[in-house]
Amino acid sequence: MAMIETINLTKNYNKFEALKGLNLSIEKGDIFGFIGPNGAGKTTTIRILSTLLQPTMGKALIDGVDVMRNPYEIKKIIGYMPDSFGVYDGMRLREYLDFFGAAYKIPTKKRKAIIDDVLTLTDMTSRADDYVSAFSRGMKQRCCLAKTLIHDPQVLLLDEPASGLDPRARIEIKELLKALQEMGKTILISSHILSELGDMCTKIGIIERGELLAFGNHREILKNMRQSKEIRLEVLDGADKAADILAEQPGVENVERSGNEFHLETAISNEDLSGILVKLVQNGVRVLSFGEEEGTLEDVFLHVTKGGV
Amino acid sequence: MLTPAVAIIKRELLSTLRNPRYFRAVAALLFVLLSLLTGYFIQNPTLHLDDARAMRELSTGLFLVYAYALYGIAALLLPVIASNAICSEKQQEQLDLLRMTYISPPVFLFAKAVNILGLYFFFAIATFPVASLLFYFTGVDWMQYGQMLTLISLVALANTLIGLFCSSFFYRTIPSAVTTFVLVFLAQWLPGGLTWWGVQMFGRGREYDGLWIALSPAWAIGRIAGSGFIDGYLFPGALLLYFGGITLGCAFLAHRVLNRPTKPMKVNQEKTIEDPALLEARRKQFPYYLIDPRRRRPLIGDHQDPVLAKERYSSLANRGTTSIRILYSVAILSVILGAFGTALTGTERDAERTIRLFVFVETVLLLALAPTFMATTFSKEHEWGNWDSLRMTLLTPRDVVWGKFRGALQSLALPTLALLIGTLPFIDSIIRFPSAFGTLASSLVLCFTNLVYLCALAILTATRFERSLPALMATYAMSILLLVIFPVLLMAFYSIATNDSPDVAWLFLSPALPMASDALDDSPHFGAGVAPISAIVFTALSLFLLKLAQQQYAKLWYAREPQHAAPPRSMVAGESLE
Repeated sequence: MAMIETINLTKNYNKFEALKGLNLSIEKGDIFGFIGPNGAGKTTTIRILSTLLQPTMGKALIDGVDVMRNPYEIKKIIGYMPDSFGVYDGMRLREYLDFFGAAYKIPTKKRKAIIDDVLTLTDMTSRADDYVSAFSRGMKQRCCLAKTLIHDPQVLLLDEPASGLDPRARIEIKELLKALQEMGKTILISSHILSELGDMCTKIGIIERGELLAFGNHREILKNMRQSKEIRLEVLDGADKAADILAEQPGVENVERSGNEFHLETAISNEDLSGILVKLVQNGVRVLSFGEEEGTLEDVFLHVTKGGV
Repeated sequence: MLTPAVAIIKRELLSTLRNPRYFRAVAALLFVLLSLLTGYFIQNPTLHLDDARAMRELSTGLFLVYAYALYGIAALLLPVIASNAICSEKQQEQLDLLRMTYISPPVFLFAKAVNILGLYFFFAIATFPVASLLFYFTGVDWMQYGQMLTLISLVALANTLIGLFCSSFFYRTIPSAVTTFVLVFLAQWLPGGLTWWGVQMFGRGREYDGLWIALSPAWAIGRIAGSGFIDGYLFPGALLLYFGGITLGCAFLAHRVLNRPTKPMKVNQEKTIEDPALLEARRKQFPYYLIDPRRRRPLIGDHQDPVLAKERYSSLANRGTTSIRILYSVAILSVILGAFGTALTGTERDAERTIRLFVFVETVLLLALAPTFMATTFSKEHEWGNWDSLRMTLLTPRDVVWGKFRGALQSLALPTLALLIGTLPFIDSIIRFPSAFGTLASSLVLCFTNLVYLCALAILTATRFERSLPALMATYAMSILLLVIFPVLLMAFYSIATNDSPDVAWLFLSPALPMASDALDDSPHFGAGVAPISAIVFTALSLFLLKLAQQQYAKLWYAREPQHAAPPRSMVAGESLE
């Protein structure tokens, strides 16, 4: 059974259609990257899943529980980190977490240990007695994540959790999310920073103008998207000879050369490709690397989306 | 010089003209003025336009209403807008960006002032059709009209600059608005009041009578409507000098503040103190700490309301030394005032009157203070970005409303205690005249009844707002309306309708009326009964208002966007995770 599921989810703001029949299915333990330009409908989807917004039509289920019918049950199993949030004045981090722990009705006996665990997990133990309003943006981000984890939710809905963070903080958040995945949590994360989602997400969904344009593992999406393979060849010397050999090969197209580096497109089989490599070596070309280019999430995104809001 | 000025004035005016709220306010003002006029004609069907005396009366009455309406805009609306004008730039991090442009602080201040005064003139011009009726009815001449408009425009200008100065000085809107209103109040009443007091005290005669009226715009308007001028004394010279001085002074100070580099907001970064010995040492060093803000607080208990606990963290007791010092100072001043009051208790009747007057003054101060604790408690959740996080928890609207209400009451308890400590010197009077104890007890009961009623009203009003400043203004307006204006108007209508003065039963329309009325002085036995009955009635009403606030807040909590379904029963019940 899918942990997060949306069926024909639609949301209209007056005449503006923010979501047009969105269908998603995210398995338990997945890290799902929700990608799309500004105003594509990511936050709307996350807010519906978080019980904060009522859809115009359709259904949303988390762990089989209907989000609209049982919001109270849903709140127990999800942790939501909004894209913009604040902290309370005059409260220290430990008190801030204690407040949210009490608001989630965690018994006092367990709460102290949970707060310590969450502080350790988010690497904030040393700042536990500092005022939250004095934190930098990155620390506030962690503080909000710690608050989101306080009731040990099975599903995490994170709306732009890494926006505005420095590179180190981003890497740390990425590592933290991987650790949470290992703990069996299902994570839905929206982000503009595609490079950080690429190697972390087990699945991605690309949304534009309220429509889901692509869904699945990003490598599979790229594979399905491409008609041909992209090959990268780098040689130590004999680049001219290599260029001649590549030009003679049937099925090899769009050969681009940049010094000793070649990029080419081909639809030929792997056997034929290895034949080309053998031919290059036999002709005295000293090959440094020869392989298929995987393609990045940016490629998928640019290919799938049209731009505009 | 001109182009940046034009740019910022244009930006300011556009933002005002795009706000439909002001157009609605103008429409409401015109509606009220024309309704009063129509009502007057309906009530006096025999009125004829040829009757010069009747027309003069009508014209003078309309002139007064019109002038006080404009004065209300200048004294109440403009300070609110001005006190937020520069604060909002700071909060939106726009001020530094503006300072990077060619817009100089004087131009910036000028643009803000033009925009705010533009709003005042917008009201003044939009109501010209009503003003023209004054001349049609031939009771008011151009000189009176000109004097009135000059006077109120001067007040508007001074109040705007006071607000802009406070706004340039403070980062947050609420302290800015509160300081603005205190300064506006002092500017308009203190010199006139002091002059009046001096005249009364030293009996130097009537030659200074015109001066105190000239320095108090609210009185001056009345005098202009009556006689057309303020006895020819110093008007408009004194007024021009006085309000001109305030305007220039505030403009100079605001300019000085804006010229300084922006200071980041002070953030408390003190660490918690774990060592009990150190905490004890601090307690000895700073005896004004009721609870040391640097101690480690215990976890919120299982049966404790988390919202109440959170509100307590930001209460006065935890707000550093300044607040605590202020409170101790208030307590000392209150005791001195009380001690002064006991000197006036020569007879039993004097003792009762003084005690009643003393508690009345303390109650007025508390009622003026209470909305600042209550009004912004809900809007802050929105402004600080905690609203969604709070809604995502297992708390219910009931938890939040009651937690915040009780939290605000606890915060208010400290100044209440500080003020009421001032009644201690009256123990001497009570020993001498035991009947004064009843007066003190009933006055205190009424004081607390007023406080609870006002707090409930404030909570009911505050739940509707997402911005602190409108919340604060609406809370004050609602409190004054229901505590004073509405009951007094009802009594007035009753008097007009029955040609009879209302009896004491009408005092139950508001808990504030028995405190302000002389009726209780004349019938002490009845007075003894009023306090408990009023307490029961208005406490019950307060509970009802809180219930309404809870329902109102639940709508917002569960249904932020339209088309939201009603909350399921399980959410209202508030189940536990255990």
